Amino acid sequence: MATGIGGQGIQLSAQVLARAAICDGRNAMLFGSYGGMMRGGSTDASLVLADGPIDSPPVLSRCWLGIAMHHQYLSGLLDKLDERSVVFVNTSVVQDRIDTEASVIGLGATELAVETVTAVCATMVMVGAVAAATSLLSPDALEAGLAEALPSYRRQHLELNTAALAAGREAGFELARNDAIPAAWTSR
Amino acid sequence: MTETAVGTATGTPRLMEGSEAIAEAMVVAGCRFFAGYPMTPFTEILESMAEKLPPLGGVCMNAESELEAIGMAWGAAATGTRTATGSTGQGLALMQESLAELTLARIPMLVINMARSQADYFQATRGGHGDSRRIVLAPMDVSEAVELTQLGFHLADLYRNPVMVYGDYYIAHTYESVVVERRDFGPLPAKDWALDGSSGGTGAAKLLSPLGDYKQRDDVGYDLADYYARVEVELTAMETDFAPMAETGFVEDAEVVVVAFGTPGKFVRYCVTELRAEGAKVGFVRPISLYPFPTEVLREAVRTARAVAVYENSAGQMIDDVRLALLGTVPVEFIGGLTMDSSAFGVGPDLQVPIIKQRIVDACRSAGYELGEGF
Repeated sequence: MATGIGGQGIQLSAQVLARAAICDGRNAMLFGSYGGMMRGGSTDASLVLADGPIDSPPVLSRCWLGIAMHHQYLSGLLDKLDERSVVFVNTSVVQDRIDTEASVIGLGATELAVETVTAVCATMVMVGAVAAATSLLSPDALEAGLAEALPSYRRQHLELNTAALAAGREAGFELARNDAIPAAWTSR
Repeated sequence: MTETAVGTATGTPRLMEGSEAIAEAMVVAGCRFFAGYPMTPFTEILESMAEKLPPLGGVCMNAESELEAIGMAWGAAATGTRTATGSTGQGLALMQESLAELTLARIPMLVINMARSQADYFQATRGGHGDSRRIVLAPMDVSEAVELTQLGFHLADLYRNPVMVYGDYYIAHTYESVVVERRDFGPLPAKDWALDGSSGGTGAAKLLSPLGDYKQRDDVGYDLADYYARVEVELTAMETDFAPMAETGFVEDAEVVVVAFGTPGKFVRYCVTELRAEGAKVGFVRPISLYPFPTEVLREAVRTARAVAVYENSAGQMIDDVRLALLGTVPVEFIGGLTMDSSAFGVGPDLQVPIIKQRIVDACRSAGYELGEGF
C-alpha cells in the first residue's frame, strides 16, 4: 500500500508497479482512493499481487509492504502494518519517527530525486528502490510498466521517469547490501 | 464449494480499470450507441465509450443531462442497434420515467447503474411508474462485471426489455487483470420490430410506443387496456423464464447464513471462507440477479440455519427481499449500515474484512450459536 498527498504521483507509481507485475506474469489488482483532490489531499493506492487468481476484496485490512511518501494521512497505512510488514519511508518529507511494529526502511527519496532527476519524480525513485531492494519486480518489467502507465499526454516524460527508476534502483541495491531488509521477509 | 452462474473467461489478461473493462465488454457485445452525462463513479465509462465507439462506426453522446441521455438511447435502441446508457443514483432517478416508458414500449437496452453505495437497491429493482419491470444484475468485481454486462445485452434482446447492471465505485475504479472476450449466450429472436427503415414504402409501417404497437384510427381510438394487458403477459413470461442467479457457499450445514450482493458480497464471501477455516459453521448467499430475486436459492440455502444475517452498505433495502423470500421461517438480522468516507462516493469505512467478520461472529452469538473460544 502506498500513501502520500495528491501531486506526489502515488496513483501513477502504483500503476507502474501493477503493470510491471503483469509484465512479470503475475496477476494484479489495484484500488486507488483519492476523492476530488488533485493536489495536497489524501491519496492512497492498494495493490494486490499474486501468482494465481486474486480473490481478495479491493480494500485491504493488512499489508506486508508499505510506501510512505508523506507524513499526512499516514495513519491509514500504519493501521494495516504488523510486525511482519516492511515500510519504506521517504525520510526527506517524513521526518518524525514512525510508531509501528513493522520494519522501517528510510530513504531520502525526494532529496535523491532532486539530485538525480527532479523533485516531482520522488515517488518513482522510491518505486525503483522498493523493487530493487525487495527483488519484487525486474527492472525490465518496471520500465515496461512505466511505458504502459504514462498517459499519452505525458509521454514526453518517459525518459525522466526511467531515469528516476534507475536512480531508485541503485539506492535499493545499496539498502539490500546493507541488510536493511529482513532476510525472512525477502523470501516471501 | 461455490458455483457462479457466470463462467470465467479465458485468454490473455490485461490490467484495466473496471470502467474501461465494462466499456470494452459493451463494445465486444456489439453496443454501438452510448449516451450519458458525467457523474462519479459513472464518468469513466462515458469517457471510455467516447474513445472506443467512433473508430468502430458507433456513436457516443455526452448529453445535456441524464434526461436527454436516456432519450437519445431510447431512439437509438428503437432502430435495433445495441444501445446502452447509465448513471449513478441521482442521475438514474432522473431517467426513471423514460426507463419505465421504454419498458412499456418494449425497447431493449442496457442501463449501467454505477451507484454510490448500495442505497440504490430500491430504485434499481422497483424504480419507475406503472407495471414496468426489468432484470437487475449485480457483479461483485470487475471480471464478473465484464461477464454480466455482456449477458445483460443478451437478456435485453431475448426479452425485449431493459436490463440493468448494478455496479459501484469499487468496480468502477479497481484495476484488475481481466480478459474481455465476446461471449455467445445462444440464439436471439430477430428484431423484426425495429424501426430500421426496411419496411419503408411498403405500407407496413411499424409503431414502437408505450401507448400501443398498432396503428390507431380515429373511429377506434386507443385501447390502452388491451396493450398494457399484453405487456403484462410479456413481462410475466420474462420473470417466469429467467432463472434467478446467485452464488452460494458453505450452506449445507450452516448455522448462520450471510446474504450480501455486489462488492460487499465479495467481502462477505471472503469473511465466511476465513471463518469456516477457523471452524465456524457459517455460509453465504450472494444474489447476482437482484430482480428477479433468487428466492428459491435462498430458501434452500437456509434449511439448516438458525438465523440469516444481511450485510448491505445502506440502511437496509435488499433485506426486504430476504424477508419476503423467507416469510418468517428464519429470523433475519441486519449487520450492515450506510458508511461513507468524506468523498461520499460510496467508499465505506466499514467495508473491511475484520469489521464484517466481527459482525458475523456477533450475529452467530445473538442467534444462540456458540462459536467457542478464539472468536
